[in-house]
Amino acid sequence: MRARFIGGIALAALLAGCGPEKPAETPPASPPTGGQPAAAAPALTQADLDAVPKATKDYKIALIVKTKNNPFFIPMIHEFEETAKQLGAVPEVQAAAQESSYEQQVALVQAEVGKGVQAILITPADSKALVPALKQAADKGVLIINLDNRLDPATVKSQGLKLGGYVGADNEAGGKQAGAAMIEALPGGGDVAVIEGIRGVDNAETRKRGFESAVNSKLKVVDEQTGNWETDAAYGKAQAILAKHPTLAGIFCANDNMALGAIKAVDEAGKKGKIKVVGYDNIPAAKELLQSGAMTATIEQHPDLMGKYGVRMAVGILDGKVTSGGEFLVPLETIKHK
Amino acid sequence: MQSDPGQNDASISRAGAAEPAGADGQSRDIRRIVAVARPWMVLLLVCAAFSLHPTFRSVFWRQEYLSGIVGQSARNIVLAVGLTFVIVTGGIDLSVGSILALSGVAIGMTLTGSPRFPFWLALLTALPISAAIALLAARPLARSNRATAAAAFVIVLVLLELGAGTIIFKGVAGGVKVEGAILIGLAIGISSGLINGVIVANGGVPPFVATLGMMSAARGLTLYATSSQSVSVPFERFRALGSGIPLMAVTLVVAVCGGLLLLKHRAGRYMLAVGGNEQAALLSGVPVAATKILAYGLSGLCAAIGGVLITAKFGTANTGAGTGAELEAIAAVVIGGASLSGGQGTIVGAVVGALTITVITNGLVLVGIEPNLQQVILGGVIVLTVFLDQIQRRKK
Repeated sequence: MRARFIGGIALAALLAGCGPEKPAETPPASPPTGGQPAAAAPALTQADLDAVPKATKDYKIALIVKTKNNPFFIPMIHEFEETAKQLGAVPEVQAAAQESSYEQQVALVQAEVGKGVQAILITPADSKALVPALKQAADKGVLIINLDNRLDPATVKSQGLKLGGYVGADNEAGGKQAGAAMIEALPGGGDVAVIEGIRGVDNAETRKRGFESAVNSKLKVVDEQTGNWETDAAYGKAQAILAKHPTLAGIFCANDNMALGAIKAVDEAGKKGKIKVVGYDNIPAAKELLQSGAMTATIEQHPDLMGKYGVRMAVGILDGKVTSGGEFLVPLETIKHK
Repeated sequence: MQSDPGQNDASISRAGAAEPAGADGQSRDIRRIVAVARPWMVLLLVCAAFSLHPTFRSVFWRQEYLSGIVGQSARNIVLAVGLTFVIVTGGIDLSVGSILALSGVAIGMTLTGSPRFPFWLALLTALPISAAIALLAARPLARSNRATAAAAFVIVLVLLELGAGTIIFKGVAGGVKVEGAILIGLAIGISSGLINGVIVANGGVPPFVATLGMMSAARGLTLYATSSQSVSVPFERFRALGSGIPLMAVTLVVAVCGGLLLLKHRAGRYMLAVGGNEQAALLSGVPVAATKILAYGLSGLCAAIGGVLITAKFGTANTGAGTGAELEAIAAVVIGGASLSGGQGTIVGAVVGALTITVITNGLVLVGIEPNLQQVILGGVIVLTVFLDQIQRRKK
């Protein structure tokens, strides 16, 4: 189902210990240029998108994010606006009230089409339910670029939606990078536990899956609990996990908010630094914890770059400088305790 | 109010209205003992059931784990104490988790000075004291002319709000001391609670709706004030409040003060009277609206104390803090024997209820129940407890 490939990211491939790379269906958009390492075929490279010149017209480009309630989207919005202005396009940002309000997103798509935008960048709240509305927009000549949460390829195909492209990150690859960081921190092997996000949510599941597939042969996952993305919940779960598994060597938390809770529990158990905690997201609070060694590593997913290269892709396609239908995966970065 | 009806009429206090007045004083005593003992029995039963499992037995009963359980429960205990006041008046407060987060980020912003503490939060901070002074100023007028009194109240309130708000806004620029930040956080909690109370008591909006609105609004304001970013609070003196003895001490003080207020103070008995039978309370001269407003204000205060503890504990004021906490706290109060229709409930019960929930969530991890099933079991235990309580109450 998940025809994911890790491309365009030398860094990710190196650190993740390489998942199986599946060739994607679309042909290469353009040959890799500059000094960029050749990656999986259809991916656009950073150099391709960096080479996009100023827009020939003042295109109106809308970004529709899931919600402004999630700090993840804030740098995305910021970079989207900055880059659009640099390129001479007119940015507009819309957001639904809640992470899951896909119906509201449908209405926003229709409203933006009505306003006469040339392109819509969207992080869909639902990977299937948004497709019909986007198809209507595309039929009216609006360029659709999918950011972050990927639209379901089967639905896109069956409804005949022609996407301008995809810019996002691979959460599973990020989970693998987290796993690689954990393996590196525990050269002698050991037992690890996973505190995951809300069950059934795509990025929670893919991060966990990535982590577990990466540590599979080297470390033993002895417990999985959900902290619902929340610090205090993760703290309680971590206390119980630590008591249950006295030989535990590491905890992977699927976001940094939960890692804060796990770190507090580890600290109180008198095992600071001995039990390795790996987080995800690189929130501001992680900096201090990485410095002190309370946190071993975290994954930076660069939502800012999704905003930036989303606009660059849109302007490039509108001006015929970039081929439609390609995709760009932003580099994931493992940030480690020095 | 001139007289003190609550003090004179003992039948109004403690579940008075719920029990039929009869000669069977002895069986009523027994029932009261059962009601007090029930939360403890539930807790013991839960512990005993989990102790059948060897991992739980070997891990749980160690002293450091037990103190960890109390530390983990601190947030729910504090929230449950506040909620008890509201629930015994027959109300509900769904906004405590959001108020916790709002107070938390307010403390973070005033301590670090970044992001800047906004003016509207300064207005919210100034509200309790402004309202109190305006009330005192307008009160003498109320005997002669209600309309003038109301006008005076509004004018004084607005002037004080603007004055005090500006002073606070200027005062906190660049960061304040730990004590000041905590006071600001608590004031914001009280304000949010008072607003709930006024909307419920004077506005006639059902508590569920009023506090649901506040739940959404306070969470939104939390995100708006911080541009959705959590605030780091790297101050050791503040962070010390969040663990070990200070954490336990604050929790204990909140519980003891709450217990004394509800049992021994006139205001607490008014709350029970209002929840037991609002009409009867009104006719006996209980200031029903003021009592309700006080209950919601105290709930807001307790939520803010929860915000202090959580922010200190993790050294971060998280915008998502306390999400879903209101449901756990309500469950704690209910397991503790309070009636959601009002008139019944104790602080000790709420504390024991909060501990029970923590034991259940920890126990399910220790005995290795699959995470998806953990929620099912927790939900089942809550409903079962209330169900058994209902059966017991129906028996003569």
